[in-house]
Amino acid sequence: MTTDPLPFDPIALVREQVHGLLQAADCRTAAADRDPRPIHRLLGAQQLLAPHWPVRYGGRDLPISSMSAVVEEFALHDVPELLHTLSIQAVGTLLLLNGSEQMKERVLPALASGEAFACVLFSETPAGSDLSLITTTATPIDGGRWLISGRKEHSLFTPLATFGLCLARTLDNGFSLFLLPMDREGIHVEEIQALQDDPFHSTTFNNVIAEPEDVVGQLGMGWSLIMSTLAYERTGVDYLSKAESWFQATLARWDAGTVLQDRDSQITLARLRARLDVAASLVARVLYRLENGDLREDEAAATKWYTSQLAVDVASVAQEFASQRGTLDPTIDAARREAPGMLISGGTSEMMLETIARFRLDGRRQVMP
Amino acid sequence: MTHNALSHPHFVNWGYLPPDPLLEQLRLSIAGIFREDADAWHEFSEMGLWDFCLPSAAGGLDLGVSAAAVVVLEAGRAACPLPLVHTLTGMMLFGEISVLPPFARTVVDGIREGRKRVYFPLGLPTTYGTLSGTVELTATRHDRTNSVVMPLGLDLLERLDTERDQLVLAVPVASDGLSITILRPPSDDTSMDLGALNPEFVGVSGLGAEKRLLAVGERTAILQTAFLVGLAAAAIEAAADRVRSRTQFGVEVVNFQHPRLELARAVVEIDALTEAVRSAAAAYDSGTSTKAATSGLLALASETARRVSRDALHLGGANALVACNLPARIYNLVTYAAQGVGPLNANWLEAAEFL
Repeated sequence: MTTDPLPFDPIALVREQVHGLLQAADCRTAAADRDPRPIHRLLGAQQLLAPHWPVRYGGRDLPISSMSAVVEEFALHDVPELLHTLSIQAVGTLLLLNGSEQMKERVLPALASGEAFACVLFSETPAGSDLSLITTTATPIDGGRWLISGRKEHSLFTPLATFGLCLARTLDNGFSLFLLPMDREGIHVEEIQALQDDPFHSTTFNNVIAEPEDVVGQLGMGWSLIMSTLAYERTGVDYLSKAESWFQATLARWDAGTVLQDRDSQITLARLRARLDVAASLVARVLYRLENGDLREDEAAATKWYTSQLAVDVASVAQEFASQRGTLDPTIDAARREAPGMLISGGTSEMMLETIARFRLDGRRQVMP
Repeated sequence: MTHNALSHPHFVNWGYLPPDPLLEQLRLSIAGIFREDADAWHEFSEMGLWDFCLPSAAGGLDLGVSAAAVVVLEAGRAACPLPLVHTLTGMMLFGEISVLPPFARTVVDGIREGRKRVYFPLGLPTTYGTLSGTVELTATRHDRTNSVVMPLGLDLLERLDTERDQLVLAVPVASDGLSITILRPPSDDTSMDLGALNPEFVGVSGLGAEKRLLAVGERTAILQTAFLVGLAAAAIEAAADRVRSRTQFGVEVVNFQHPRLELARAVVEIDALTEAVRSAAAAYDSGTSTKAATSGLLALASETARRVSRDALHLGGANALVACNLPARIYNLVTYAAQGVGPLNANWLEAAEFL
């Protein structure tokens, strides 16, 4: 008797390979030191850090859902995943879509191999959700070069970053993006302790020279590039992965019988499970749109809102269940401290809902087409 | 089965099934039908809706629950009060009985020809095929000539002298001696009076009935979820119409932050449930669904639709409370549809089966 061969599933293969590497890796140290760079290098050497990127930039040319499997494995192994979000999903994707060929060849393979990392330098003290308030300036000097001055706040993983994606005001009050090596003269990074394990950073630009090749995309088009970058940060992959891993940790407590197994607890867990499944539908849709070059701002905002709210609720339940024995679980406590930031980073919940309102409620069109 | 040999308890399904163009076409046709005629029963019969979920061996069209869910969701969006899910469930139950008794065959023919509708006064079977028996319904509210009730339940045990406590019946509402008033939980003294019930109306009973109820429960749950999601979408549209057209203190209500963001939140939740119910239907049709996940989706849809339709009343102001106005009608329909699958906590406990 002959049987059909198993269908080849490259995404499952990516997951299997990432899983194998992380099982053998020192994820515990990466989590304790809040430094996942060795893990990035391990995966990067196998083209597993950005498997959805073209082969020439260090990827495997796979569907974008393969990247989701990587992020999910990071979460399941408690590897800090935000450096991946910043380097690969936000900055890397923006360069992939908008960078010059020279910039892509220079930066993307380094990011994909885990030899270089990136951070996002948008926020400033008065400019939280409203980036139009930023005051960092880029003044033209000789030879197409720029002089950047200003102060960026609340960035994450900044000292680990090789490159910083900086938003600055240029001529005629337009906004432009610069990808700057973080070791360039005049850049100073200061750490600020935060509620979550990963500290914030304040970055000062003191007359930093930007070369012509540091400009990302078209000069003065930084605003529209930012909008597209933010949408890429709003796939919900990282929030859902975190929420799922925290939920699994809570289920493990349930299975071990260390939580009160009453009806209310059952209903609480069932409700979270249902919301996780529904969230997966939204995330899968955004990934599909990304894959097909059809990312919709309102759908990305909806997905970010839904998954981040859910992650906060899961963390809260996880903490409640973990505290029933009167002990403090470090992982769950870290989740409790990390979760509130999810409603702020990548766009606040209010901004997400406002985006949805702008697209769906303004005008006279059908709200639920 | 794929290459994935890992043994983690749960992986996120990152795969997206884009809308099937044929189903999208069906959706647009159904929306068009509802725009023309709120009581589109005959159109549904002509398109063979009642046979969508039945296998071809049972004379059905074998289109799967995905196609039926598209229709039912649009029915919800049109705030359609017709018993579509009840009748589809009735047909699915009949489809599970290999040799139909003569009366049931008459009922099936009547449904196919658009002459008969089915009601489950004790509530629809849940995902696991159980019955709550807590629905309060008065049969006289419906068309007594062309309707059929399918009282599935526990309380008929003694009267029919069966060995089991579940049975599937199809009874003409106009039967002599039948009066259905308020039904209470089975443990109470029921006020259902079947009088001179003719045993020929019994389709199947005992273990056979349990098996059939289990067979249709998940499909019914998906369809009822779709209906609830559609109703909630209708509530959002009604609320949006109102806040866009009404000005208070010189500002359009849609521009006040609280109603604006509250409505945006409802949009996200119902949008998410719409995607999820489509995925659930596709998963059922491909044999990859789980009853616990389907139960969870139904419970979440039920909970969310109740809240969204209640909030829509609030956003609509006093005008929304006028009984014949759309927000009030939707609010009632959501309540009946949600109660029709049992108490919310019971739905959630079914969803907790994975624990």
